[in-house]
Amino acid sequence: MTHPEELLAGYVDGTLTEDERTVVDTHLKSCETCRGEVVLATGAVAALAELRDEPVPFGVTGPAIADFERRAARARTPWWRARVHWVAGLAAAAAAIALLAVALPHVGREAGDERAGQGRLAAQPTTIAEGGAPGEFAAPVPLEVQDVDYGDAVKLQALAEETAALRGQDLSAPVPSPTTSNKAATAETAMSCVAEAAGDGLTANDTLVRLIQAKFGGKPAYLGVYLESPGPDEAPDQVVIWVASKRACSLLSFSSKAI
Amino acid sequence: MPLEERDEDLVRRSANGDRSAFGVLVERHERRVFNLALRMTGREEDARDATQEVFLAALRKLSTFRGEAAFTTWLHRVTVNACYDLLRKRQRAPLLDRLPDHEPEPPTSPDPAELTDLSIDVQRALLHVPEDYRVVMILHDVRDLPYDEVAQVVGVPVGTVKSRLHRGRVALARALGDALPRERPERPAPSDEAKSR
Repeated sequence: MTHPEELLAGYVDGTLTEDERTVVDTHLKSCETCRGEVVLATGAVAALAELRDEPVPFGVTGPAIADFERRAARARTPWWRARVHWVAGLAAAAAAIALLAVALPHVGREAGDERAGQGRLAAQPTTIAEGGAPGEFAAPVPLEVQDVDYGDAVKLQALAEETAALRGQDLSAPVPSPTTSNKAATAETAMSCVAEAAGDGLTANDTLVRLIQAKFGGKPAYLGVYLESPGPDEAPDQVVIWVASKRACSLLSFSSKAI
Repeated sequence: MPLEERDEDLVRRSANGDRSAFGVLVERHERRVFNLALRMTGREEDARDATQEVFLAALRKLSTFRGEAAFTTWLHRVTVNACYDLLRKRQRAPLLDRLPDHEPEPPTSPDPAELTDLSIDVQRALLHVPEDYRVVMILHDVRDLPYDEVAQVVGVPVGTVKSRLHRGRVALARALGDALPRERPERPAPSDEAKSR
């Protein structure tokens, strides 16, 4: 027997034409299966009507959009101003990285980067001063490799909060889990990938403080953790994390946390 | 009282750099997007992720929105795709599905607490309905979109929408079992394969 399946939804909804309804009524007289299904479908529609809209939890979209907008606006800063801002912000950047270097003694690093904290701090001003706009200089931080999937929004937010806590000079904050050594990619590759994914979102007021190779939703990903200042000569007020797919350098996610 | 500005005009203004216009779009549609994602995924965490992702995608792609479809249709399509991505990504039991099983009493009055119980049962049952049927049912029966708009969102013919809607409703009713808020006749034997649909 052929069942008029395309008409049964309309029959339950009461949207059929008279002719269509007659077709269905005639069929139902001889089809017990469809009669049962019409009753089931009617019950399902009534049950679905019980679902009410839930209120949107606070802070789902607004802060993310505002954050994106703010960074896009900063990205429109003229390049010469951006460069001045970048150099002027060196002291804050160096201080922040020094703090992280002290607080993260067990973080895995690129081969040859074992000198860690002091070496990187000494090199950074020169590198930035010569490098020009953000994203064009060698990575100022090592690449950490973590066996963590940041596809869970809670973990990503926890990373932002953890960095914000460290920036807040709370040296008693828990040290991040030790990471494995890395041979997979260079910090420069990771930094370029994150910068490509973030696009206009990265500005002269963003200072890279951590680079992480991990996973996001099961896919290999790079995470760039930045301290962001509201303007030149101002202390960072945000931790921002950009997540890029390792393969395509496309933007997978980002998260931010006020310091 | 001034007329509410049309979505399409807000989109045009947003694409021209008027970010306050985008704020109005977010305010207007955030609840719709969040609830569609919540019903599709069954997890508030996923619904939050999807909502954020949808509006960030909208922000990045505003200039490519050419107005062939209504903004809401486009937004629904982006949301549904985000949900499919999340569901594929997660591939784990939704939190609501892990709630302790209980045998709800048949409702005898429109008590709000009982309605809440029923809503949880319905949400739980929805997650047992195949995704392709579920999305059609949520868009039509919960979000009140007409068949042709559902077809545009999902990208299938209207006839397919109607078939999936019917199959989804039957699947939902069977998943709900005794939680259905009305008397039901004997279930017909599961004879889908035998039917010539």
